[in-house]
Amino acid sequence: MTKQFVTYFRWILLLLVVMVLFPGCEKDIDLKLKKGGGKLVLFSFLVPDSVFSVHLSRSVSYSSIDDFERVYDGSVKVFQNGTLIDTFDYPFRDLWAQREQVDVRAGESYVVQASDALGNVVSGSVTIPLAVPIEKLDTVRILTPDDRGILRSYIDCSITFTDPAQDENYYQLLMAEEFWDTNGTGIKYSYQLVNFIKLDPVFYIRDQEGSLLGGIDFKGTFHDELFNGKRYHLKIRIPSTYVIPPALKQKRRLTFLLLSQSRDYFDYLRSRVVAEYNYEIPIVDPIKIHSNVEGGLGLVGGLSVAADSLVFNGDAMK
Amino acid sequence: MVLNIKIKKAVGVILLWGITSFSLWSQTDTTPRVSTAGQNGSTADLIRFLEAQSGWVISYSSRLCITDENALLPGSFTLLEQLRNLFSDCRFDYIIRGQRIILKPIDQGEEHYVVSGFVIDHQSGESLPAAGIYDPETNQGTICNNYGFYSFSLPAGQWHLRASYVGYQAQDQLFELTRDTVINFRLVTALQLREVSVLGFQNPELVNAARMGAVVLSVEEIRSTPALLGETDLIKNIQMLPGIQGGSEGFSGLYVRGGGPDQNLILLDDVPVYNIGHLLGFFSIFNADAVKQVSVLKGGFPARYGGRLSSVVDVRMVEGNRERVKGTLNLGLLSSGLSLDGPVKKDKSGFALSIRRTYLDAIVGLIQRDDEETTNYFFYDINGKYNQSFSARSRLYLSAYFGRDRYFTTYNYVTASNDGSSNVISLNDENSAGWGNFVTAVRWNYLFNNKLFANFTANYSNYRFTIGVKQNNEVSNGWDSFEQRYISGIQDVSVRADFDYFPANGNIVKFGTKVVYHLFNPGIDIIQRGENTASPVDTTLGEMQLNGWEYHTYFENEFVPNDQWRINLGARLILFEGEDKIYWSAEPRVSLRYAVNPDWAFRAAFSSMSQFVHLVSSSNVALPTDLWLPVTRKIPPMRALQVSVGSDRNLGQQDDFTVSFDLYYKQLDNILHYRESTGFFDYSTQWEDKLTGGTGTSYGMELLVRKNNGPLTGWMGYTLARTQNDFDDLNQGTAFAARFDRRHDVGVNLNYRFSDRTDGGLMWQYGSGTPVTLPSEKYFAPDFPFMGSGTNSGYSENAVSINGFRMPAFHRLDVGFNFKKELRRGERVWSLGIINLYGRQNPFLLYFADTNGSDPGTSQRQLKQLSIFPFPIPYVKYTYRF
Repeated sequence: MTKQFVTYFRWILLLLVVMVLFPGCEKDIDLKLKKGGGKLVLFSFLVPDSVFSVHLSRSVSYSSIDDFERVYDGSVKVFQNGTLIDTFDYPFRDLWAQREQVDVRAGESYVVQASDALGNVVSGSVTIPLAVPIEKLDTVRILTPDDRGILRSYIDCSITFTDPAQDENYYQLLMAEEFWDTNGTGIKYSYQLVNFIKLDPVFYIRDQEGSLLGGIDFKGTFHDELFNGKRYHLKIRIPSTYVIPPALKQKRRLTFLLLSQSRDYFDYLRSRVVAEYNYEIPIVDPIKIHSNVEGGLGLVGGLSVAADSLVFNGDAMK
Repeated sequence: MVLNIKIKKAVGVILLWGITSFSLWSQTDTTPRVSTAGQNGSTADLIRFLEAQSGWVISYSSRLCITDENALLPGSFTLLEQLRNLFSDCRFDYIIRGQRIILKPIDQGEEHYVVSGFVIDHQSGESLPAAGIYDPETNQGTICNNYGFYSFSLPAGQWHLRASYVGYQAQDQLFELTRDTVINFRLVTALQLREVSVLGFQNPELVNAARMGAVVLSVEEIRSTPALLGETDLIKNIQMLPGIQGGSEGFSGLYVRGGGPDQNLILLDDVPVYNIGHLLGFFSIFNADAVKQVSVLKGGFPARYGGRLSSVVDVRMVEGNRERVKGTLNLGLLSSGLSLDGPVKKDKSGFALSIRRTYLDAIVGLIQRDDEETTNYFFYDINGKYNQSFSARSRLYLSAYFGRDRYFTTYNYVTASNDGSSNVISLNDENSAGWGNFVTAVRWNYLFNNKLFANFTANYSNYRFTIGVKQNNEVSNGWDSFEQRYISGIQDVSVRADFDYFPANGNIVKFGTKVVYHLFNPGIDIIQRGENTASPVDTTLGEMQLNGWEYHTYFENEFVPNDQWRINLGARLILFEGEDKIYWSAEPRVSLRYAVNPDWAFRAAFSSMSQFVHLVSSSNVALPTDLWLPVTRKIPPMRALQVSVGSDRNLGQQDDFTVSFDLYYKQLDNILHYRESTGFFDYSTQWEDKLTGGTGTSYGMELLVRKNNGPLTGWMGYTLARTQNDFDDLNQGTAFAARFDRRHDVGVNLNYRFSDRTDGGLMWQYGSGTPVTLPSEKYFAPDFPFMGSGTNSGYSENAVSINGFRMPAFHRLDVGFNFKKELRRGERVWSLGIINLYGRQNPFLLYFADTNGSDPGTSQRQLKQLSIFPFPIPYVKYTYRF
């Protein structure tokens, strides 16, 4: 191999490396963007037997340092089944205004209306769905191979409930682990949501689901398309470590929360999950987050909760 | 009442005067007077003498009575009188165009005969589809079908026919027609004739064809244009044509007159191809060495095409020459390829084979040789074709394309204990993604008689995308394995019969039928497990296949009622039978051409199109994960109506320039878009529910100026266009700009021949900003109830309007040179060039990100632009032809 050829080959190789890497170049650009922001943002998630809360703020331009702008001159009205039941000036220092005098009940309709001194008015309405009680909770221990074929121990849980036939119903299943430890001085308490394995087809109703391309966690939401009006046994799986008996003076409670959601809340949650998933993927168009607030942004939604628990006591806790 | 009668009389007088005047004017001899001494000579010599004396050009049909002995009238006579005298034995009609008189024999009811044959490449014997056959005096003629066959019905007599084809030297045939005659033309490429410049886009049928918006691209010219990494790319050249956009820079998308990339019928030897991109679309799958011709239709679709809304890209593969084995070897920076074609049995059968493969993986493999983790990529494609003549009437073609892209990562870890025990840990993982097409066709051409040509085709097309995970683990004496594959794709099987019938001169009837079976595979998972202690487990998840049947039938008639008009009328009927619904479509097609003179024509066209398959994609980049899916009960077929008018004019002594001008208006119905609150990654919604239907309109003006001959050839195109979409469920129900709605597009593609050995190409593109959806505001994002804190991302983004912003303008200059040298056995070409000569940083993506280096709590979101070719990128390529 002549020296010339070696030099030539190196040059080609250098070009190859430079070109094949295609070092994409990032730079700031100055595009004349229409200034966004200034819209009233209203949030209220109404849960029976919980304190009524409402948030009022303004949207801000996308380049703003702040995430939102406070509303200093806002006022809020709450209507229940068409009757005004509360009105107040919004406490701008608080992220949420809490009104204990508002009685939140399942099955009732509410309208939350907010305005500012400039005359901007926004409003959202919701009928709070009825809770669907958990009728039965069954568990069974199983051994199943993981991706590498190694046998793992899991607990398969079956949550039984009956879907009301007359409505389209939107659900969310949450599972929480509470842990008490009275060893040592005082009681140590911890609370965490359990990330369960969503075995049930209601979590994947799309027929052509491709698990390798999936990855979005819709936080346990599902709707009744597959079991409308029927008694249903919802299947999930958790690692068996959650049912290992606790040690002395310890207690574990696993709580299954079956949330019945208003359609708007369901859409808001899922669209926000997809939108946030896409924030880091600029190649995909932005997703519009669902809103039912007329004249502004945000959501007025309703949730009712049914719960059941499994309790594991260490001996001293009995 | 009296006044009324007077007015009527006055109008009558004026009309009568007008008609009489026009009649008198049309019969007036306006030719100049010529004084002669009554010279003798042959008719041809005397005509030349009259041309010299009068300064007029005299064009005449060879069917006139041309004798060796003739004489002019002595004295001063008009040119017309002299000509009448010269052709006193045969009556003629005439047309005057400026200082030109065209003489045509008057049909006296003589016998008509059929002239038919093939137009083929002189050297290779390959047929030349869409070659023009015409009388050079009157420019009247026809074009060959896709197999180079033509047929005329002409009166008996002397005839002069010329065959021409883009990139080839025209060939003339003078003959006396006394019976049905077969005349085969064997054309020589312009590149072999050193004194003849590359014809480029020139199409002598330009002002003859009734088709609107049709462009035939010269593959030779495409090969000489600059290309990224030297990879000659047909699609990149098509993207530069007026009315066509490529989408994001560097990719192989085609957005034709406001249509989406799935609305293009891309045919490889009559077989639809579903994915045309290698390396995520940076390069097209078409290997230029394996391609004979590319034609693009943007509107005025003849009835023989159907099934897509916006364009037809008809790619014809090299057939295989029948004279001798030829080859081309390409060595490029990204890939190398070898093409061979030649006879199997001389003058009976031929083959063509092209192979191309990237070799980056070999180099990267060397670099990563000792690494536990490796990442690599390659693509390859193979084109093959075989043709066999059974007789002068019967010919068979077998063709196939197979191409694959593969991206893969591996992890290999092995460790063994030093204590002599059997503790060995071996982990071997491999993740890969692959996609590609397999396309094959068998076609049989049969000439029933010299007026009826038939083509029977059976073909199969398969596009497949896979992702795979393989894991093999060995720990001490135990082992297990796991394999998972995700597969999606579409398969087509179709049979068709097409007939070309030539009943009379200037009259072509095309009709045919086609049946297509689609098999859609939106995605399945195959999981396999194995252990040394248990039986292997094999699981298949989500196996769902959708199918659909398409039935097409069409009828098309192109005819020439007189010298000015050429008309193409046709209709296509389509029936689609899906899983749960049957749809049908009746699609009328009309194309008209009016020739003002042989160099100037006006065109108009109307076409109705429908589409029964669509691509579900959520990105502005064509990804292999995009799914082809059929229409369903919820998703009706997309439909389009297009009206276009245009004009073509040849300018210059030898038609040096051609100017084409088109106006179009297109209405699209039932086009699809993702709903605003969902998207590609929202798997938990049924795919039909993720989409919403709407309408679109696109209109624009396209200008194309071509320089046809001389050392400098090429073209410049300009497009002024607007495309709007309107969906009830999107953008608050208000219309918005379509994804690649660009107001202005300019494309310049020039080639200069410095000498026989050196030529250079220049490509410049400009496009005003493409629309982009960007968030314009952000707002409070609360924690979700019952889910604890930490579910709050701080804020949510709100994109107020779809495609409400526009990216900065795009422009780029590419230059390249080809240095040729004759070698003892063949020719070598060094191609050198630079892409993005002046280093323009064009926008590929816009996105918001935090400003760099900000103090905590003061970070602002700044709009950023990503460019993928931000600086000049040189290329070099070596080609050896033998």
